[in-house]
Amino acid sequence: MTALRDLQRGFQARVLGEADTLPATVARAGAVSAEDRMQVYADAIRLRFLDVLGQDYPGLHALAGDDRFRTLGLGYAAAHPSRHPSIRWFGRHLPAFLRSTAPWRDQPVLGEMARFEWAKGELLDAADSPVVGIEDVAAIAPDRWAAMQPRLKPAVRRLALEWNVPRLWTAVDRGDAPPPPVRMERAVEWLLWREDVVVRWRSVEPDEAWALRRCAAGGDFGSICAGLCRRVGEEAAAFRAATYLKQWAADSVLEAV
Amino acid sequence: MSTSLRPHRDAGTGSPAQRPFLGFGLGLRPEHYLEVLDGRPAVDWFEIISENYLVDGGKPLHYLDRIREHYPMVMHGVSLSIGGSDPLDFEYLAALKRLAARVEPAWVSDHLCWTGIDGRNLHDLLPLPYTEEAIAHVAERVGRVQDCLGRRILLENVSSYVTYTDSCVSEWEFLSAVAERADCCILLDVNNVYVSAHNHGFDPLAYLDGVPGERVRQIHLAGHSHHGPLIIDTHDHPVPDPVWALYAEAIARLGPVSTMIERDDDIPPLDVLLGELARARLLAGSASPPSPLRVSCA
Repeated sequence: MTALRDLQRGFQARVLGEADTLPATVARAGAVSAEDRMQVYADAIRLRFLDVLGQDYPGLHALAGDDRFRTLGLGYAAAHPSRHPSIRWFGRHLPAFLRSTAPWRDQPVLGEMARFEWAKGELLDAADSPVVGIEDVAAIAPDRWAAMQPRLKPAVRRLALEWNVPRLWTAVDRGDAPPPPVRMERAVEWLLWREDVVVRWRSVEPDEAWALRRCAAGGDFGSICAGLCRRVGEEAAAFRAATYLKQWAADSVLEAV
Repeated sequence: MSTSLRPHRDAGTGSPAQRPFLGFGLGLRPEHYLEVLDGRPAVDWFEIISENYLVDGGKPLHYLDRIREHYPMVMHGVSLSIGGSDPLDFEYLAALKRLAARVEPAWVSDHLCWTGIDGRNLHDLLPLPYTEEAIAHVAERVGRVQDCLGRRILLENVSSYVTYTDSCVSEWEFLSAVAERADCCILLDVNNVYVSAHNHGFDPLAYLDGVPGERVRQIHLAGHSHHGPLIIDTHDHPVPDPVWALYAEAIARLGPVSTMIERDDDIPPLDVLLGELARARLLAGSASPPSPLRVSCA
């Protein structure tokens, strides 16, 4: 198997631009040069990687523009070769790449847009699960509320974003020119989820964000109420906690209570 | 070489008369999900790209399950890398097997090629040298894949742009040798035969004459693009006339073979593809039985 392995290593290095020489056994006869023939593969591979990044990150593409998107895409492909059977996962490291790599790390809105878009993509094919509806919550006896353990379903993500990324994304999705990127005074927490086959999102206030973090950490409803007492006062806490729970059920983000 | 001799649970090989015939199908693409479900177009079966459904849940599997309720399906993979030098990816094969249990496809196919080495996946269908070493290597791996999946697989001929000086047989002899030695079936991509014949200067009819017809279970038809003196297998155009002509030659030699239009880019409205499918039905005409034979899902 040595000859085959050597050929494949040489072929891969050549089409990825990591080697200048052609594998020794690539035929050089004919009207079309071996270099031009090999370039067909190099071009197709590069275009396929850029194409899938464009599908996964249309908002980033719009923010960066064609030329910069191509540059960042090729840089990313060189830094993070695909190692998964499905090209669907090729772009998964792009948010971290943009946050950590010059010059992209100096434009943090790009990394945030990538993080938002990857989370949306993850939700589209995240695991299915049971969904707790309003009627399920209403059927729980009052003496059981404190022991309830609201659990977020797999198709839920929570993101803290410093930029107006969801607004930018919506503009791009509508085909409008994106408004100027704006950095918020403080990070805004966002809740994203899949409802049937559609991904939805909304911003959440800091107290609700805290309650969602407690849910994700496995806290029961009693501990959420106790925490809200400290945050908003005893009078408002119970009403606030019940409101959150009903909203989560209405949004269909819970798989169990 | 230790290719398995265990029988596999499928329609098997045999004479063309025994070949399971699904009729005329299309590649299932997300752009057409709703139209397929709402309109139930006159498509005999759909081929899915297996990797697109190796996910936990959500939209892809939602539509897959609903469309499967109404149409037979076959599974077509792009990442088996059967000719690769890295070890077979049994995690991938296990996922493929789980998907097959869900879909109950008439058959499972992939490509006679390699897709990367040293853990990388280039997501392209890269050509093998037509050597005894490669035949033995691929046949042995096909045997292990078939053992793992518990079914005979189909291997598709790919378009190619380079050849190798150490190849000692033609492409069709290579394909035939692998299929015979591994006891697998063939997915004959007529467009790929045409593209490679043009790029390498061989006679496409010699290719058709050279493949073991009794092992051909499915035909792909697709379009391509001209780039200077080369033809590139882009799947972004309608099936061109020379490919239709070659398809007619293939059917004349093989008899009825389950045939589909494969479109992967610049995907047109479903009606356009249905028009191409009607042309395939017409061309296949006298060679086809009056209605598709529904095979049990192996």
